[in-house]
Amino acid sequence: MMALLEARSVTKIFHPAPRWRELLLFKRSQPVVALSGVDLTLEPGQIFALMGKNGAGKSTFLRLCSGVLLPSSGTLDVDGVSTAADMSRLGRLVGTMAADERGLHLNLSPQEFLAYVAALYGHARKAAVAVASDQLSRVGLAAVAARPIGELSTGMRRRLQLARALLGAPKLLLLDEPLRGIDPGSAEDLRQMLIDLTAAGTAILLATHDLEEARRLCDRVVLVECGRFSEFAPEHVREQFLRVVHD
Amino acid sequence: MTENVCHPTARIVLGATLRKQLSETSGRWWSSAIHVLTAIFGLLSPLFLSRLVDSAPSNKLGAYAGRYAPFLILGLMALHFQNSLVSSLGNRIRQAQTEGTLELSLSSPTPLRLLVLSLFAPDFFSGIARLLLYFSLGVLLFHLHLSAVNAPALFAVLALGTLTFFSLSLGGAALTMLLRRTDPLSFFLTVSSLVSGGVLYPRSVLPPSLALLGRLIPIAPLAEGVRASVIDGKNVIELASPLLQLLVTCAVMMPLGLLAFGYALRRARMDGSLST
Repeated sequence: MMALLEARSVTKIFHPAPRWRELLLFKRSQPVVALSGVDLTLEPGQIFALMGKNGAGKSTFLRLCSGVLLPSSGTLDVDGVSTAADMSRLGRLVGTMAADERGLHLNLSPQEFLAYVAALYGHARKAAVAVASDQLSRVGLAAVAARPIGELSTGMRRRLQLARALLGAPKLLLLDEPLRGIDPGSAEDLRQMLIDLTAAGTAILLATHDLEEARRLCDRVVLVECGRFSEFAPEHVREQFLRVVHD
Repeated sequence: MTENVCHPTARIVLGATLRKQLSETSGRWWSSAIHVLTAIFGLLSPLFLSRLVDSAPSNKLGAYAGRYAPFLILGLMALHFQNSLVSSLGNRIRQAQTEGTLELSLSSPTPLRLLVLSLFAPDFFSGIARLLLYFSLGVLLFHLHLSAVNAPALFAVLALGTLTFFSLSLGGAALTMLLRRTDPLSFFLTVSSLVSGGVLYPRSVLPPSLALLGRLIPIAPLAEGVRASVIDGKNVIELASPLLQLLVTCAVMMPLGLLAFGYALRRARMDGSLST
């Protein structure tokens, strides 16, 4: 089967902006190696979990896959499209849910927000409203469709972000701690939704700290340690993850 | 699951952006009301100043001696039109960076050129609304007579002015992305326009160095063209000089603005600063 996501020797080095002291002393700021020589292949219908300590490079890798961040070296292709290309080409292929709750227009209602996003995916006005309503029902937010997003709880906003990520029916979903802040009942529904999506061929890459979530949902688990990846089967992840966390 | 077969067109994206903008501002109607009131009260000082100047006409005003009030209101109108358009993309991008919406918009299937136009559109329409407000107040308070207006000439001047300011706005947006601050370009343009652009007084009163600066900034031909088409009723051919000046500025600045914007976007994707 052709790989949906293919990362080859991906390295990401950040060069922080120099501070005044460094500027005055003609010093360069220390580069930060976020990822080093990463290889990963993900096929349609697979779920991979990225696990690791805070700052290990999980979110950086997800952002590289979505094209909002460019690698320092190496290549990343999604369905044959390089992530270094025009981002709008990736827009059809990739759906992203960030770790934080930013990216939502807080003065809009969920209905207005998703209708706007649907328009960015090419839906005309009436179709956009219909798509927005469908997505809200899908993530259990139909009851609060008209309330300002700023008044929604953290869990509701996370579900809205998931609805936004799913809106373009992407082939690849990038989810950064998708179930954080969501109540157990809704989390179970969303887990089932992710399983259904993979059954329909969507590939999912999710960053999580939840061992149980990784074990139950994922085909493979990738431990991220100091910017390097090591893959494990889900049943072996517990001892490896605890080793990484305690090191 | 929704089938992915639609293509974002200018009509869909611009329409959705304007509806979003209206929804967001309708929840903050008092903010819009304060903007309108500020614009009206901000014209009180120029109103009394113009009455003072017109009470003792100066030859230095040239053709506008004794008609300083309409001269001033049209100059201020051109200045505010410039300010709202030039600062548009920089402000919108900075806001989207801090709110985290820029990355998500850029990673949608909407082509970049359409996204940029949709960011610019609300400020363009707000700039047009402000023009109409200034025209109305000009007629009511500043002895502006619209009977002589040459509409095609005015339209040509404003259209070229809009394109020129859009190209400068692209440069401002590039600086915003590179510096992660509100762009300094619009500040520089506002200050230089007030001093050298012929907004408050004719450029003929300036010393040579400042007069030269005035010839380089686009507010000067815009203000000149607006005044000539509205007060003197000059046609497009009679306005060839300011129109040509705007056209040349636009022809130079547009490719530079596009190049700078493309470079800054790539740099922001490299630094990871699209959302900071």
